[in-house]
Amino acid sequence: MRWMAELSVTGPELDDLIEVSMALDRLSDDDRELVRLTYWEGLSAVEAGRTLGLSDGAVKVRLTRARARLRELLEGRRAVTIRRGSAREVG
Amino acid sequence: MKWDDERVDRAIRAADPAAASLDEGKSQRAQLVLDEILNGRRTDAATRFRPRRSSVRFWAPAAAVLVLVLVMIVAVPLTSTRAVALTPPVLTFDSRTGLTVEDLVDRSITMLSEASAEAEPARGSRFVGWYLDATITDMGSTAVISPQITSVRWNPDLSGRITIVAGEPYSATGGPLPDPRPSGTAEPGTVLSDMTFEAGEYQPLSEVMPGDSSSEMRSFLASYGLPSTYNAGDIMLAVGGAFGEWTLSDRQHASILRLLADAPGAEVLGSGTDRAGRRVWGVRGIPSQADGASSQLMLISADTGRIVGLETMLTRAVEEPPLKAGSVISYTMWDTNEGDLDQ
Repeated sequence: MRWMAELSVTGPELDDLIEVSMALDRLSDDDRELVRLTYWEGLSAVEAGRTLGLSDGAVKVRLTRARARLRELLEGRRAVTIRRGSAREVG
Repeated sequence: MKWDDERVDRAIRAADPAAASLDEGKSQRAQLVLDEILNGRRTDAATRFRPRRSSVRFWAPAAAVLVLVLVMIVAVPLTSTRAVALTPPVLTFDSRTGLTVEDLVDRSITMLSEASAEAEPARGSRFVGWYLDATITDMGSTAVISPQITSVRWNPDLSGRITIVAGEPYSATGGPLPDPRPSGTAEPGTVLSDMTFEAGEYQPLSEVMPGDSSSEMRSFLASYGLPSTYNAGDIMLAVGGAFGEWTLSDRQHASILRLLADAPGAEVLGSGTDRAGRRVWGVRGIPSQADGASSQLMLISADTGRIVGLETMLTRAVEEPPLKAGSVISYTMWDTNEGDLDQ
């Protein structure tokens, strides 16, 4: 019996990129914006807070929770990937 | 490989639509800023760094990357691996009891009503989950399951603390652990995470202490994703979220079980023993949100009537990783004692 190993051939970094992109898409709009400002735009907590109307403490908390949520989604992604997969005997 | 914070951070940064245009110096500064926010390490570089970009399509890269991957999948040769035991063994149940859901719920509620402890719910939870480290090659496969004990405690002022401690790892096949162990396998007792929240920082999905009635429980579980029209599997999914933040009273467990009995789609599997060696009844449901591809197994203590576990299983085989239908892809246990945590 042979199986097509899809994920292994894409490379771990690329897998991560796909999964994190899809997980980011499942965050709330507010959390995505927070991720964008801090991870991508490089804003500090104070600056991001000023943009979003939050205290820097609230930014830290929300970003920590957003990352925790991402981790949760990414761990769950394994299941999501599994759910979307279909067994294919190829040889 | 486990999704630790470092890997999550790296992947998020890699998903930046304009990542390719960032020079190395900017990337380093961006990391310093993140360190400041997430870890409290403040640096001058972090406070000075203010790169700005404008009008970038935020989620464009996901689609682009997906196309790339699809092309790669078509282009690559096949590799051969066999479906192997990668996940925890499936719990077995004795179905000869012939109990209906109503019978089981009635029995459980009787036990719960006779119990004297836990008159009030508690803000927090202690539960056992697991993390899988699997290696699949043409030469063979290994799968190490590492239990993790998570303790969540939070206060009315929304301060709190979350700790995650490694449990005793074990092989999915029941044999000895591979030597050397996978790099992500921690020694039992290792503190994997210890996070403290100041007042106002912890944000549970439902911070109001829930009432006891079934309608109050339904409203409470709605905070954790229970849709307005739900089945037994949906209740189980919501319970999984709620029990991560609250330890509910016996009366509240009883109300959830009433909801379960009244919901469509609950199937009693029978009596058995859970992964902590406790006597349980198993009830299965297929959540409406899961596209029918996975099922939930709720474990109800045969000694206390409380909901003490939740497991997720595949309803059909998948290709990658190669898993058979029925494979356990998630489990969580509550109300565990120290001595129960070896699995």
